[in-house]
Amino acid sequence: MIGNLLAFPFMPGANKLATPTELSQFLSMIERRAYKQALYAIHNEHTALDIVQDAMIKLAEKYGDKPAAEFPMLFQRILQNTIRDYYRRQKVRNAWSTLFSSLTPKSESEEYDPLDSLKDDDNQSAPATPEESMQQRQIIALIEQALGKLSSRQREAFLLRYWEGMDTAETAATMGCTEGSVKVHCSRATQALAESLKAKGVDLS
Amino acid sequence: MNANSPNQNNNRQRITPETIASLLTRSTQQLDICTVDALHRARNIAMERQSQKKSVFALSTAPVHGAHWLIPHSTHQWAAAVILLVTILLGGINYWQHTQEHELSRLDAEILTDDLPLEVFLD
Repeated sequence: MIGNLLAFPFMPGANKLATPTELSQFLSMIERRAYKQALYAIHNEHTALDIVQDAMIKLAEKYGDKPAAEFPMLFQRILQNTIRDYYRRQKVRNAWSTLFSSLTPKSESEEYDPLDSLKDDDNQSAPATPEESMQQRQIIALIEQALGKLSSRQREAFLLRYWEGMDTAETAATMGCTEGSVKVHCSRATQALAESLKAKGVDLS
Repeated sequence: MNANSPNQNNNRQRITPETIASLLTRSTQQLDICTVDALHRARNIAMERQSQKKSVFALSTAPVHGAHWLIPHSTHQWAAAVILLVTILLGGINYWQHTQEHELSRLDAEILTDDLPLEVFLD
């Protein structure tokens, strides 16, 4: 399933340098999942798109001539680092905004939050579809909400391990931690997701 | 993987990470057209910036067996090779000049002593 990403057509010629076609093929395979990963972490469509674009450009510019078999690991590392960079910048920005928040009128700051939440609601709403599809969309929305509640490390470990199909060692290398930490993060993420979904009455079989 | 808490065994449900992953994969197929277009544009921008190794001119001695060691591999080796070639070239020029001078002086001596054969004067 998802593990096929790592066994992408490139494996036979592991040392062969990637052609533009191979890079394009790889990017088209992963772009949607990368966008979703960024969206779960950032909760903002535009920023998620920017992050995915940055990651794609970095991969193409710096590692575009690497063997295509190395693309999945390289791209995931770049993507996760880009997300972390965004977190750091956001943290600094928040520190400054809280510093100045006491100086600005409250009515102005309150205007932004409802707009943000309205946007998120729009994303989850779907056009009219058959009943089963609607149910599935609702379940997916619940899963995405539950993923959003996980800590960044737990979410990262869970998505890399189970969605991107990486093994423990690859996940650890991408996250820059030990395999033991990956196992702990994955276990806690799975438990938290199960509990969160069960609380919403979702019965997955 | 069964992720139920122990006290809820009467209402068991299997929530496997694989199930969640497959649902998430399905969710990627439900992205709106604007997002898909934006991703496509992002991919094209990235493709325009793909770095490719440029072809570089290089001497290849691979097909010539045993000749690889003749090609210098470092700056010092290249400098030594150049000095050696210049020395050989200067030596050759010097030898050629010396030979010519010797020949001319021999001819001069033979003219003075009238030892030259008749054909020399006919040339």
